[in-house]
Amino acid sequence: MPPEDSTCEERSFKKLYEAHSEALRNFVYYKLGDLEYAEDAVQESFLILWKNCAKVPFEKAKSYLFTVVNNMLLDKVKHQKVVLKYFHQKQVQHVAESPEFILEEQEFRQKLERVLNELPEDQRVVFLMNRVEKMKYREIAELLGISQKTVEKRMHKALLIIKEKIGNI
Amino acid sequence: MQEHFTDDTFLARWLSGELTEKELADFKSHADYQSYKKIIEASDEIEMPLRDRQLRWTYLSQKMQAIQKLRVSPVGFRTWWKYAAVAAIIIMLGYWAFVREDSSVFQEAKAGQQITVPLPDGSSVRLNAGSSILYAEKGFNTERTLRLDGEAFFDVQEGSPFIVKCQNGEVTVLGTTFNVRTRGNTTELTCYSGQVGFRLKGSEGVNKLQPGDRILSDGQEIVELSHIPIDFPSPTWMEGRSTFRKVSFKYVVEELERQFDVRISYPQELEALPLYTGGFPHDDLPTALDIVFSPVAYQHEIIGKEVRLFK
Repeated sequence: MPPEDSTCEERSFKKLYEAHSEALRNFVYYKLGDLEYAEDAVQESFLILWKNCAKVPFEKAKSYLFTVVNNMLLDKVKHQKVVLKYFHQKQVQHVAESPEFILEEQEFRQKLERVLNELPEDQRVVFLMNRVEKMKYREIAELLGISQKTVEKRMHKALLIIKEKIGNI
Repeated sequence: MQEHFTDDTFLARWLSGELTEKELADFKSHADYQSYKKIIEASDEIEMPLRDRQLRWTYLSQKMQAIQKLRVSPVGFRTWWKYAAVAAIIIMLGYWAFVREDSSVFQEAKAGQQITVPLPDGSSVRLNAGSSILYAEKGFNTERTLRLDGEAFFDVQEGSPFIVKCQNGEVTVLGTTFNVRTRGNTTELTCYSGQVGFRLKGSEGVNKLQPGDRILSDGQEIVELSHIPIDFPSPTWMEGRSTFRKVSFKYVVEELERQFDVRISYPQELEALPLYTGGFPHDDLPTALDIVFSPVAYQHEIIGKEVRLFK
């Protein structure tokens, strides 16, 4: 049997980093829209985990990281204007489509981006964790320390608002 | 809009595929279905900015190594001392982590130990019990700076200025031998050969010490400048004895704890006694206790690693 992973082992710790650092960074980004701050927060939270490794079992490390980062953000001034750029170098794949169609697509994305930025933070974070990070509701609930029902309500609400703000498509 | 849906998690359940067949069929025939579908399709194409995870991991693991060195922390210290030392080191680490992330070296002599640390430039440091140094290995030859907590004897090779930073000042030397003792708020510096300069934290002036000169500071100011006969080429603690001049009994008790790796409890009145001048040998705890405490009429009792002083 392979040795069990321990948070204090560098090799195991690296696994945690590879598995969760992106999701953690994106989580902070969804909340605040500041990419540089998000990277710093990730670095900081992993160092805190490392310092406290003896107290945190390997399988609890992920939720520990999210808790740490969450606490970190509590001090951060809220309600700053969020400017997220979501669609990065994603090429439009429908080569055969007409120029009008491609333009419409682009406009739609820009609109969606703007609407997402205007969403209340709670809803935006849940929506993006589900759609972009592909996390299940239960997992999101655990990481945010809320009930699965609440996650589902936020998800529902988010989609309602997006639809309403984008208008008829 | 709310009334289109049977409950306030409907859309969430749609996305996770938890609608019943009937619910799904009804929803699909709904006028807004295509709009929702389009929003989700576009959202699912969202990609976050790429990042160089490998590079970031490299940065992180360098900082982790610095923390790991601290993690193997001494057990022999009295707790306050341990925290004080760790706090001081962490502050320095913060600085070094920026300047040169990868090469901080932390060395310590635990309670009851003395160790010699060779430095990259050929100089050496003898660390007394319960003392530690921190320095950056990379570039040490051009910038000879280290941080000391505790007491150490330095044998410095000639070359560029060699700087010892301690809690309330810094010591600058060229090639020389000297002893620095920094415990609590006090710093005591003795020059054994060559010439040593001492600059009190926050002050501009440098005190120059010749062989035999000793300087004592309480963290605020220089309390005493004295000259002692140099009978030995190195401080007495390196020969197996600790000696003191005009220090509090508390200070002596702490040194006893470090040298013998014991915990000493004593009545409060002990701290009110006149200052102590004298010393004790490192090889025999009962004798050491007798030598220090019988003149002031204190007795002792040794149980394992605990020592109790009483009248």
